[in-house]
Amino acid sequence: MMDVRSFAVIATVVFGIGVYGALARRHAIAVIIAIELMLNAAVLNFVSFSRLAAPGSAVSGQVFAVFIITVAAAEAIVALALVLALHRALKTARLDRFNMLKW
Amino acid sequence: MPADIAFAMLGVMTIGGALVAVGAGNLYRAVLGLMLCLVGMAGLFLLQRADFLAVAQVLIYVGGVAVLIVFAVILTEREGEPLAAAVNPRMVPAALILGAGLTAVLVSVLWRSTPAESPVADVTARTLAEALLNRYLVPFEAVSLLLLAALVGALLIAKEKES
Repeated sequence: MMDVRSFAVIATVVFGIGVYGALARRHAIAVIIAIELMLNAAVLNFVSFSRLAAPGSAVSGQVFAVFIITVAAAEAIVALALVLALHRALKTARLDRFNMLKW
Repeated sequence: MPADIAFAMLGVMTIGGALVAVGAGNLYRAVLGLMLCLVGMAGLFLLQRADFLAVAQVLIYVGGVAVLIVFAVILTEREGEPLAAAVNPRMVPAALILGAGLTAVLVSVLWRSTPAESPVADVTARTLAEALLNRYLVPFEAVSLLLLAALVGALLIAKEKES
């Protein structure tokens, strides 16, 4: 039961849930949460598939995972700062109210 | 098999947490669901003997990013605008089709594949550190520069403008 497939299935399901959340949610922070879910599913895939690599190169998958976690943290910081700035300007954090670029 | 039981529990925890994170109307509850999902992921890393990654996941995500999101929720919360308006009704059908369809296609492909018989390699924190500081030294430094730039940029964006 505990082979790569089952880990990959869990990662896929979490990724699908994240896709749904990123598209359907209305609050900007909820969308950020969904994006974090998708990034974490990718990390899980890197970790589980790296165990199948040849012993010398198996470490690369985890190095990639470390980089993804770092970049995801940076992304979250910038995204939350943007949400705060938008909230200060528009007094809302709902995505359907962000229509300054629409005409 | 204890490992199988642990795997099943962690899987339920991860997927259930993700569902709460996406489905909860209250944003605080959504962040708690995200934390549950991330802790479950850390457990799945542990099951695959990626112990450094599991610890880093808990430290960075659960301890850092989730708390940061909670602060953002507190700062953007307002009276008169209920957080309960969770989903955009016009987007729900498309999002459901895309999310469920993507999951169904990928899972069916995965289910038909045969599991590879391959030597399972264990990566310890020591080998990970050696790889990061030798072979991947330049990307490692670049990503630290990226973190610095993101930090300064976030401060600049979120700072109150002086009028």
